This record gives sequence, C-alpha cells and structure tokens, in this order.
Amino acid sequence: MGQSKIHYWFVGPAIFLMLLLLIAPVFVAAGLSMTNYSLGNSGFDWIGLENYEKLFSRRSYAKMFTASLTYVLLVVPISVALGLGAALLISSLKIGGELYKAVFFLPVMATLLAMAIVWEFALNPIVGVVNDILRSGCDKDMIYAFFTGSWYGNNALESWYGSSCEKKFPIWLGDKKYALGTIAFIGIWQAFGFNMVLYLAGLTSVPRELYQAAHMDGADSAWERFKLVTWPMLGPTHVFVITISSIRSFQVFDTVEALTQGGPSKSTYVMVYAMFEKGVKQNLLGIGSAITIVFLIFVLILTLIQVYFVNRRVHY
Amino acid sequence: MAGITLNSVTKSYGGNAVINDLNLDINDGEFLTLVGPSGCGKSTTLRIIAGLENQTGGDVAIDDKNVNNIRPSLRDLAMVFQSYALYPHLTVRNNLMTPLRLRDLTFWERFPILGYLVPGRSKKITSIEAEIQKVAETLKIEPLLARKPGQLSGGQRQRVALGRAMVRNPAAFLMDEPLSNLDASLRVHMRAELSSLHKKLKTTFVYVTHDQAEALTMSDRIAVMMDGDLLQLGTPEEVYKNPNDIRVAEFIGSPKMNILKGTCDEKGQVTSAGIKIDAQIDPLNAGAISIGFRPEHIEIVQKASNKTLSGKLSYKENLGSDVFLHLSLDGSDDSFIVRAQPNEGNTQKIGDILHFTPIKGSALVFDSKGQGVTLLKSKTSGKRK
Amino acid sequence: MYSQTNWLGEFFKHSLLLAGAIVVLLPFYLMLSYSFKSPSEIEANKGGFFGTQEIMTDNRCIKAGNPEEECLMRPIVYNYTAAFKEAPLVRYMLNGIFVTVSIFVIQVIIALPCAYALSKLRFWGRNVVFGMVIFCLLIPVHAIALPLYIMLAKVGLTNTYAALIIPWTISVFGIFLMRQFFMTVPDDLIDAARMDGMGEFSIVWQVMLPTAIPALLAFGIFSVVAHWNDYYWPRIVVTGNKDLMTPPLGLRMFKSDMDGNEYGPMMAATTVIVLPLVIIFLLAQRRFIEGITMTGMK
Repeated sequence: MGQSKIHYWFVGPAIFLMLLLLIAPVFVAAGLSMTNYSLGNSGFDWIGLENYEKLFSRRSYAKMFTASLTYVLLVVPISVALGLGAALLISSLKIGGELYKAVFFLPVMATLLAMAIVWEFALNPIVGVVNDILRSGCDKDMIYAFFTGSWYGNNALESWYGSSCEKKFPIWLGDKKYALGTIAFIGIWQAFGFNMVLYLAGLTSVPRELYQAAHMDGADSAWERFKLVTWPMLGPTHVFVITISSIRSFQVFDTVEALTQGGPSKSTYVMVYAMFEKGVKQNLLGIGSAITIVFLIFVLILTLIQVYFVNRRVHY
Repeated sequence: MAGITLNSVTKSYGGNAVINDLNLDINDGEFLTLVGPSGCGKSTTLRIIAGLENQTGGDVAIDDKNVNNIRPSLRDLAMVFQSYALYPHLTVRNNLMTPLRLRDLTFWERFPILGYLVPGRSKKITSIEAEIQKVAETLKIEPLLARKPGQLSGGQRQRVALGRAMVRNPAAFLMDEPLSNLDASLRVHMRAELSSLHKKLKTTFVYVTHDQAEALTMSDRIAVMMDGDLLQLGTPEEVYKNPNDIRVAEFIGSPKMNILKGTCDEKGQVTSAGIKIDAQIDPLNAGAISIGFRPEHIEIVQKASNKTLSGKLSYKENLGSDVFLHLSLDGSDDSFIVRAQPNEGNTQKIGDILHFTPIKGSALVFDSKGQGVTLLKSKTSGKRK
Repeated sequence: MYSQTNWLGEFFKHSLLLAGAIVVLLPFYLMLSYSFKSPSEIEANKGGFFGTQEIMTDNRCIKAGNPEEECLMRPIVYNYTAAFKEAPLVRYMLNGIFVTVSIFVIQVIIALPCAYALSKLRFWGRNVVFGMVIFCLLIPVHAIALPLYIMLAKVGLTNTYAALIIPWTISVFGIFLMRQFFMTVPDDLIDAARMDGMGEFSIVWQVMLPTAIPALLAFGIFSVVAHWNDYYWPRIVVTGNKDLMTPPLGLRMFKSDMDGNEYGPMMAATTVIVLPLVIIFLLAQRRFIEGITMTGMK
C-alpha cells in the first residue's frame, strides 16, 4: 500500500504544529535574546550577546542561578531518597500498602498552587499551625530534651530548637535564611510520591525468582538481598527518576510566584520565575529570552546525561 | 468461487528479492497449500493475492480477471490470520458482522444513530443477522456470540476468525498459518475440521504453513517454496514419493529423509560407501550424486553382506507405535534414521552395531545439482517430473 | 520458611510510614478544617477539626446595610457562600473543564493519526518525522513559554480561550506514547480491517482508537491532571480578565484580592478547586497511578 498518499493527512497536522509551537519558538527565543525587544515597541536593536553578558555578570542573575541550583540540589536527592524509601517500605508491608500509596500520591494530584497557599497559612509565623506545634514542644520536657539534644549532654540553648524556643520560631517564607528551604520542602512534599510510584513500578518488574535465587545463594538478610538484587535491578529506574525530578524541579514556578515572588532579597529567584518576571511582568523580552535559552541548555544537558546513561546500560 | 492465477509475480524490498518469477495456477475449489521454511516467500505470496501487498512485477488474476489495481476488500477474498486479528473491542457477533456491514450497508446506513433512520436498513440487518446465525451454527460458536475476543480460548478465537471469513461467502479463503497459535492436540483436531469445512463449502482454499504435516494431511495440492522459488507443485502423494529436488525431499516427511553421498558409474550403477545400491540411473549422470532413503524404507538385517550398510545405534526415539533408530555411520555427521516396529526396535541396545539395507526400488537419487533423477526400470530415463 | 511475620519489623515500618502520612496529609487536613471554622477559631487555632460551628456575624453583610439578624450564620455556611460570592468559582471551574477537555480532544485528534502512520504505514520520510517527534520531546513547553507568549501577543490572541489551548494542541509525548502502543498491535488486525473493506481513516478511528483505550485513558489522566493544575501558562496569557481564568489562576486572584484574614472563605475556595481531582483520584486510584507512571516515562 506504499503508493497511497493518505499519510500526508495523518502526519501533516502534527508536523505543522510541531514546527509552529515547539521548534519555531526556540528560534524566536534565540533571536530575541540578542535584541532589546519589548512588546508594543515598533522596532528593536540588535545588541548581540549583551543580554548574556548581563546574565553572567550581574549579581541578581548570579542569585538566580544559585537559587535554581540550590533548589534542584535540595529537592532531587531528598525526594528521590524518600520516594525509594517509601517504595521499599510499602512493597514489604503485609497490609496497608495500598493506603499509604494513595496518601503519598495525593500531593502529586492536588493542584500545587492551591496547596502552596495552604502551606503558606500553615507556615504563617503568627497563626500558622507549624510554629504552633513547634512552640508547644518547648515546655514539654521530653520533646524539648530530644530535639535540643540535651538528653545526650548537649547545651540545649546552643541547638537550633533550644534557641528558637528562647527567642522565636522562624518566619519561614519571609526570612532569606529559610525561604528557599521552605519552598524546597513544599517541592519535596509534592514530588516524592511521584518518585515513589515510579520506584514501585520498578520494584514489581524485578523477577521474584531473583530473590529466591539470592536466598538460595545465601543472601540471608534483607540488606544483602537489597544490595545483591534490588539496588542493581533498579538501575534504569534510578536514571529515569533522577532526570525526571531534576527537569521537573528546574521548572519550579507556582510556589515561588504565589508565596515569595522571588524574595526575600532574591533568595528564591529561580529561573522560570525570573523568566516570567523579566519577560511578562517587565516586558524585557530580550533578557527573558536569554534566560529561556540558558534554561533550555540546562534541560538539554540533563536529558543528554540521561540518554548517555541509558545507552551505556550501566544499570545491569 | 474462483481460480487464482499468478503470472510471473516478483516481489522485492529495496532490491532484496523475496519472490522470483512465480507462476502458479490455483484451480477453482481446490485446497492448495503453500509450504516452506520461514522466509521462503509463502506469506508474501498470500498477501499479494489478498492485495495487502503490491507485487513488484507480474500479474495476479482472480477468475481470469486481473486484480493488480483492485483494493483488498473488493477482491472478494477472505483471510484468516495467524493471530486471528479479531477486533478486541467488539463482541464476537460484531466481529462477524463487520465485514458484512462494511460491504452491504451504505455510508449513511452505517452512520451512528442517524443510520437507524435510513429506510431499508433493518431489512439488510436482518439478512446479515441470519447469515451470522448460519455461520455460527456451522462452527458451533453460537454460545460465544455475546462475548469479546479476550474472553475466548485460543481454539474459540480460531473459530471466530474462520467465521468472520465465512460470513462473506468469498470467492476464495486465504489462510496464513491459522493453526500455529493452537496447542498440539487442538491443531491436529482443527486439521480435520478444516478439511471437512473445505469439502462442505467447495470453495478455493489457499493455505500457508511451515508445517509439512499440515500440508500433507489437508491439501489437494502442495506448492513447496524455498528462497522465493516454487520448487514443486503436486499432490501430497507426488511430493512425498517423487520429490524433484533434494531440498523438497528433505523438507517434506518426518523424520527427515536420510541422504547419503554416492557415485554413479558409467553403466548407471549407483554405489555408496562401496555398497551397490539397488538403483540404476541414466549413465549421463555419472559422477557424484546423492541418494535419499525414507526411514520407513529401510530394513534391519541380522548379518552383514555386500548389500548392507552398518551403523552404531546412538539413540532410540520411541513413539509407541514406531521406534526410530538413530544410527551413526562412518564418514557422516548426520545420524541415519530407521523406522522399526516396536518389538523389533526395543530389543536393540544403544551402542549395538546394526546392519541395514534399503527396500528394493525405494531409493531416491539426486544429481550433483540436487535435481531428482528417475530410476531406470526400462531403458528410458530422464529428469523426474 | 521465611514467611513468619516479623511483627516488630512491621510495627516499625508502619510507624515510619504513618509519620510520613501525617506530614503529607497535614495541608489537606488544614484546608478542610479551616474551611469549616470561624476566623476567630482559625486565629486561635481552636475548635478541633470541625470547629464549634457557633453562630457568627458576617461583617461584610452588615456593612452592606442588612439588619443584623439576616447576617448571622454558621462559619461553614459563611465560608462556602463567601467563596462562591466573592470569586466566580463556578466560572473558573467551567473554564477549567472547557480548557482541559478541549486540549485533550485536540491532542488526540492530532496525535492518533500521526502515531498510526508512524507505527503502521510505510512511507518515505517516516524516520525523519519520528526523529522530529523525539527531538521535540526534549523541549519542555514551560521553557518556551515566553516566545509562545510573544507569538500569541503578535497575532492578538492573548486573553482568549485560544491562548489557553493552542500551545498544548500538539502533544509530542502523546504521539510517542500512542506510537509505542500501536507498535504492539498486530499488523494482522489492520490487514483484516482492510480485507473487511475499511479505509485508512476508518481504521484509525474505528479500529485503532478502540484498541488504544487503555493507553488513551492513561494519557487522558496525564493530560487532564496537568492542565487542570497548570498555573504557569494561564498566569502568562490571561491578565486580569476573570472570565477566562482557570481554577488555579482564579484562586491566586482570590488570594491577592483578599482583605484581612479571610482564611475561611479562601480555604473553602481551595477545597472546591482541589477536591474534584482528589475525589476522582481516590475513586479510580489504580488507574490514576498506572496512568501517571506510564506517562511519567516522559
């Protein structure tokens, strides 16, 4: 049936839309990143690499890269580790596994922006429930001793918990020392359930016989079997989970826009938010496009790393 | 009902020939089997007949009408596929109905909801229903009509696939390894059913298989294909008894035919391993030849003589009704297989040296190119046809 | 053999998971709880989960000049009525449904025939097209939002439904997913359909579509969840026009419009927006998790 032309109708629309909506924008961004274009202006000037020079020399953009990288480096390892831990625990449970699975997956489904607003209330320094709970531990000796480390002989007042009890608990989202960490916490809260189900899927694909063989070969403790079978067999899942969470956490926006708007003092000024602020809010499309291109390069590097690992098949 | 003619059909994929100049006349109402090892071009031939694949060269005619440029659905053929190809989302009834709906109802009659308003539709549907009922009765699948393919066993799916072909009352049935996904006992049973179905319908069947047993049991004629060539076309008996090519001889028959290297002297006498074989051929073939013996054409004898060959018993294959003795012969890597009666075969022990001789006139001789050569009884000789 | 239960181990595992579950559920609990309580209860953190539901006066109602007895109500009623009164929540929800459904339907209309051609038809340039799909998989739509925004602004489409939908009409991921699925459909089935007299268009919509329902369902869940929850893109292309806002964007507006400590109505609105997906998720949990994992392989 080779000579029929029907396939034009089948792939034509898709090709057209791919070119228009995915490939053309990359070139538009690349082009605009070398201009000082603003919407509404009739013309623009070519300014070469000036936007990129700004990006790599100004302090506010240094803060942007720091914020994005710190966020990724916080969220990825922790959410992957928690996801793996939860998956291992759940898959080894006799009963109740399905329930935990559903609970941990809930944040993945829930509208992140809405839940960010709830977290903001919870973390409110005055009426927020988080600081309330923390405060209530201060006058309970056992909890106080445990968290300050005084049960171990440490000086209670030197610990974070002890000194916070003395003075006050942090303004989580308003303090530049804590803001990015708090945003990252919400990111982890939201993402680890996703990693968990990916790991659970990875775990079910490990053949039962391998565990039985490991038993026969004398791997008696669960830890031995984990080292011998589970960890190496999860190789492809690791590569996948790590890249996917890196790409996703690079794209953090909702929480930042709703809760801190990049502040305080640009401590949460992540890339996608910067792109939005420069390009859309301030109509500085040149610099916004430059951030777009740098961002695309980051994502590309991450993907290439993934492809490299998958092709090398390091996992078996 | 129709005969099918292939005239100099060739097929190649990107310069890679899979069918070389195929000429084949399939008679009206016959059961013709295309048989050969995988990759021989038999499935491609069938798909060319169906119109699912376009031939690179040559003509296909159905009922003497050239169908080269006619769409598959308009060739009035029905096909049964190896994987059955039932629509997984439709019930058995709707699976059977699909070809008829598409053929008999107009576009508007098939249109959702609106279709019910078209006058005359219900009458057509009634006749389709009746057709399905008839076929379901023939195949004994009435209780399955409301089920979906996923709820059926392999054998039941097989019947539904047959049914979907039958409802169309096609000019010919094309079957592409329809039994190969069934388990062994069901497959043997379905062979008999297909044969009787063919007798009942009296329609042309073109059947593709790699299983020579299926080909021998069901067909009126067998076409043996290898490497894109049609090697031999004949009744099962002809192909078995008089293979015209050493490749056909080795492919048809189970266990495989035994082949010994031999020579032919100037008088036409055939010898192998220094033993004179009871076979005379045309002296024109003098030189190196091959001699084939079917396992059932060998006799075990007690004493060695100048007419017997000897081999060491290396393996016994006991099938209950027969025992196949595998002998290793000096100077040959393949084992030589001899069929023996159970009482005879069971007394032999592994490692025994056995003497055997071919039954008179049973040897098949092939020349150095692998072509079959007729044995001389009178003075006439030539290529075996 | 190894099957006797280690009760201590089980207890330990459950305690760990339970602790995790408490942290995970905390905001959901707070969201529901705040949406039931009166402002004073929220501020003082009293009243347990459901609050005392003592009759309270609605200050705004009094300011509007109504007699006091008409402005007395239970906190839960107050919170939810305020949520629907002060923000066009229904409009937001309808917008959300319209946008997500349109996106999904168009994605399928574009992706399904393309995936069919890429997996089952032989034509010149097929590998080039597939290579293009793979390449486009590398481009996150979030990253190119800015140029897309400029292009839409240039043709005057910002602040329209079209702006919310158009950038998502092509799902290369959908094409990829469906192609992989179609690769597993036996060619025989398509040949059988051709023998039965179907044309290529009928094969796509009458044979491939029904066969692909499981994969489509997974993709649908992925697509609908992603676009119902999406905040970034609507935030860029919809400015100020409440008639076009999707639920997350509307909620964000509500938050910035909010005066004083209107936590109760705010949380009521949040609940209304979060709950539909959560309920559907809990009802069809297995499908959702399968769908998201299957499509997570992006």
